[in-house]
Amino acid sequence: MRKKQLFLISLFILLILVLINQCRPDLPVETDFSGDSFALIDQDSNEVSFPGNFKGKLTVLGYIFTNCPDICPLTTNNMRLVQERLKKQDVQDINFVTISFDPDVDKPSVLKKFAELRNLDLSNWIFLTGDKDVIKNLIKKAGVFAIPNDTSRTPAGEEIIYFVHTDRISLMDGEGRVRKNYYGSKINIDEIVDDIIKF
Amino acid sequence: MKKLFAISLIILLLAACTSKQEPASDELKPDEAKVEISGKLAITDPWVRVGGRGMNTALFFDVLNGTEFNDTLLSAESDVAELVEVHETYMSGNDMMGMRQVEFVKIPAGSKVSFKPRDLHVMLIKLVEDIKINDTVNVKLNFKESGQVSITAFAKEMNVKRMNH
Repeated sequence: MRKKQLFLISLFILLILVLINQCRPDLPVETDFSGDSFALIDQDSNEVSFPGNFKGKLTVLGYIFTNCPDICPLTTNNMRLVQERLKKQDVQDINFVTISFDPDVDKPSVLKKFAELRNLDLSNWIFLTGDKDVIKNLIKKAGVFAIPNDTSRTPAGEEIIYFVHTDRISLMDGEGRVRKNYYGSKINIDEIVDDIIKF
Repeated sequence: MKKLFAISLIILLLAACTSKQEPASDELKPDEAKVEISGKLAITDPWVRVGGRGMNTALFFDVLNGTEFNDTLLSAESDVAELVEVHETYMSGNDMMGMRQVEFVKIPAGSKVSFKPRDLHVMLIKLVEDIKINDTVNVKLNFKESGQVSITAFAKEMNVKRMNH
């Protein structure tokens, strides 16, 4: 009788452990940046190594170009909502990184202005740009596409290029490995916050 | 009793592992709203996204065509930008998004057409000055039948009314 009770208790504990383990997200590695080092520049013109500077913490990663008036502001706003939600839930030590795939236009000062106009909290959020080839290699590895497509021409003759681009926010682990991709402009805030908390 | 306790505990754990699914930003929704015939075409809820001098931004609003005739938005103009165009955001493939100019937008009689995020918008290209939160922007919309309609839009980052957070 005692043996049977012991067996049942062990089985119950095992079941609980299995269920608790299921609560952790089983996220495969989507992109492995862990062995890479991309030399980039932030909104204050500081040199930044990606992903080196962000290792040791989870990173919420977004891709934008500032001439984009719709999808990229939505992506940025969604990152802000994630940041605010995590702050409310007292989840700390999360990096927020926005990478521009239009380095010809998005100089550090442009990125800084883009963030300032939106009153973004840059205490744990950084905007990155850099050399065109470096950016090209980075986004290629990330599986992010940015293809120059339609254009507008101002009365002064300046050509404004609009990209067809991947709508993307990613979650990168502390070793520099992207573990999940989300739609940037229509991400489910609850989903990514849950993933971060469970990670 | 013990069995009941164990089953309840398992159900609670499973529930804790299930994440709540709510939409985030503005979703694309078909605008099928009918408008009562009042004899007037009206613009409601105009707002503009913040933007910096030299950058681009977008203007959003609803057009309520309460007239008995079909109308068409042909163009828009404003002093806040070097160039003003009517654009639409479109999906290209599974997760690619793009944007392109549209020549005109039909506004059927007795209907509402929404210019909204991830959809139709008026592009303000190469802003001549910063548009900051709570600034106002004057824009003229040129309709084929209703003529020129002037609107004033408040600047914000998102249409807060549509947020669920």
